[in-house]
Amino acid sequence: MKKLKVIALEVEVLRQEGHRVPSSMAADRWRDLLMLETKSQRMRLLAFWWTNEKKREADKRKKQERKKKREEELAMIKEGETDDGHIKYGFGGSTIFIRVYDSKIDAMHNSKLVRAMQFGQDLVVDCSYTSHMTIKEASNCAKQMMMMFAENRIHDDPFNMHFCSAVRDDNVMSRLFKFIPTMYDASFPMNITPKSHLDLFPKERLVYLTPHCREELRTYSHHDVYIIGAMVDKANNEPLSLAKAKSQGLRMAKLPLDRYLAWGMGSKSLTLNQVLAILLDMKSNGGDWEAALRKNVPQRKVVTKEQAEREISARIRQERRRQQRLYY
Amino acid sequence: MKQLDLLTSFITASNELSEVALSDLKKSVFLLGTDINEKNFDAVFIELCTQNNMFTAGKSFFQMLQNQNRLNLASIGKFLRLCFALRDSCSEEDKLLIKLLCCDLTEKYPVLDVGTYESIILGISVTDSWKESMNILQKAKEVGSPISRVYSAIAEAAFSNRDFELGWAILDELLQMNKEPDISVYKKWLCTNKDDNALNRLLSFISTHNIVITQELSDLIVDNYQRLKSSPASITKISSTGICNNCTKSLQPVDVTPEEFMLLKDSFLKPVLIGNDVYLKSKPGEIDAYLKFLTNAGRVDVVLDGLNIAYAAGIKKSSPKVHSKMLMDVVKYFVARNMRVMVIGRKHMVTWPKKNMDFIFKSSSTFLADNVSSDDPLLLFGAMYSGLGTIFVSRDLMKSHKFLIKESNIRQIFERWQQKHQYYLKHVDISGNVTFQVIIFV
Repeated sequence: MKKLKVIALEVEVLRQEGHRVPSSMAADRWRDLLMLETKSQRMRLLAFWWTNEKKREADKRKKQERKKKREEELAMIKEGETDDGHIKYGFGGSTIFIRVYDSKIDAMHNSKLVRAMQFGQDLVVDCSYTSHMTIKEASNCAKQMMMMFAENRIHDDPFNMHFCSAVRDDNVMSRLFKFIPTMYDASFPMNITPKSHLDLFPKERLVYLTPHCREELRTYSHHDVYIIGAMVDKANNEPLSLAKAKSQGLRMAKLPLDRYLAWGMGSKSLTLNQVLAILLDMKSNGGDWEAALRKNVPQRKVVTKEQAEREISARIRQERRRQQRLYY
Repeated sequence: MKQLDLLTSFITASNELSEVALSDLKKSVFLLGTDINEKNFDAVFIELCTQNNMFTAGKSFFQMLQNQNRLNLASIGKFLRLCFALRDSCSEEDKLLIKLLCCDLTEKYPVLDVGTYESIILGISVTDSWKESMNILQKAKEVGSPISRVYSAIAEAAFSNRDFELGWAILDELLQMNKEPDISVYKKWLCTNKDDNALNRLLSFISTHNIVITQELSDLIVDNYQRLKSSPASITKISSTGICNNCTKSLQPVDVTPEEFMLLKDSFLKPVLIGNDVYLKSKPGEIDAYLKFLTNAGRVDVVLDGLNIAYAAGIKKSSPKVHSKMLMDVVKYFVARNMRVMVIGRKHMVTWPKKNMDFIFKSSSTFLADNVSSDDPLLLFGAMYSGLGTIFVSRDLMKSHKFLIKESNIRQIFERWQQKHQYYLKHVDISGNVTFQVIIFV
């Protein structure tokens, strides 16, 4: 209680000093602040919220401007129209097509998931890394998990995803729940379980996907159960998923990122939904890694063919020069 | 940022502060943006006075706030910091005001945040009741970790009030936390203490705590040497063997005593290799096997980081053939000097060309770690286990492993041991001649 008081005072002083502090502080924000150790960590989190708040304000303003403009345009169109007594055909008027509502499309997507639950390939999302993530990482992770679920749902042949080792109230799952409020409903096609993947599947079928191991996943298997670790590691680069797979004695593999792509700027780390999209494509395109990777790895990270060729010829020249030198 | 520019130009113009001018200023500032608003205007104003060294403007603004009864924690804190920053121009009257403000705050609030405690300490260290700052420091430590400036301020106050022991004790405490004091503390020490030993005391403090000497600090030392000893002094360059270019005397070599080394050895394995989870860098069976291997290998003279040496040729640019030849040449180099060699590598190295690898296996004790284990901690521990004097070869600076040693004294021992015992491979030429980077001060 004393710590909360001190933090409240600290936040107020920071605000009075002109630091970046959000104007509204909900109860769960205080909870997040309480979990941080140092003042600088708290200041960073406050600044993060502040930026988000400003972005949201700006978005709201732009939206209103757009709305106003649209209304003006509509008014202009209406002015130009003459009422000739006929019904109007087209969008916004009368048409022969039934309107398909979002809820209908939702139901269609969900039915695909239900089919996958009966006949589809299993895939595990291991949600046991929450304690290793900062608050920001946890919220990014929850967002990526939401996008993962969405990506899977709209695919023609989705996986039967299992969110394993999920603790209902932890930092990630509580945020995911904010994105998908119906996720714990019995009728909702999403498998969330506190059980470990070891309890659900035989060990021989499990393959842990971790970027830290040496083996590449060369051929995609339709019988294996792949495990994706639900983790965003921006700050800490410990090989957590490798350690987990090692201690559980599971097979492990990494995506063959270097084998099929020439990497340009940025890191080689992919988001959870990108990894899932790659696997989805591999499942349905007959095992073409290059196509799956080219489609789903962000364009900015990949070097184009012309650039790669230029680089290769430069490398060859460099190699020749190197061989002329005496030492290797 | 337009807001800040406008405010700065107002403050530096040093106009007479009047309420009308101020409310006009506020209006025009608020029109330019939302970053500076009614809530934080006062503190930002005083902060800008500090940045631009406008003491009188800050003081009269603060007085105005006081008269209007509009003081908040931030503006008081910022005012105290202003007084500290310009402590040399504080009058007795100002000091009285500072004392009053600090007393008010501590009486009114049973507990405060670290930032405000810091401001109180900075403020009160200027006055004659500076000793109070020790109590407040205690309170501040309960709610967080105060910045290093605070410790410097207390030490400075202690020095100027001739309580030298307390001053040095505070500085020792600061360095225990791996932080460094402001240079103003050293200045204060040298100008209050005029006897012969003052400079020596400062120098021994710098050397025991391994403080990196900046240009500013070295200038200070040279100036004071000239003043105190009234003999000439100048800045010199030290060669990599530790010899001074001016007087050709040599520096004392870096050394690790056997006791220090034992301490390092005992407290290395746990944080660096095992950490929170053995599986992160190794696995339990492997560590046991390694310890067994080390006991069997006995004492060696040099430990080689196999992959690091092999990959000096470039990982992608060359083949296993080149890699293994590289490593073999380095092993040969040490074997030719009658040294017992140990090589740490990874299991996938067995697939390298047999001819070269057989030589390596025959002429050294080789430990191959798992392909997914990290070999650096094994290397470091192997060199330590073998005993003081065993050198190790790697081009890695080992910073990430050093970071995992949390105690500052042990980290220092590690640094000295590394400086003396690590060889950095420079290159190996086509006929197998090995060159190392020159090691300094050995």
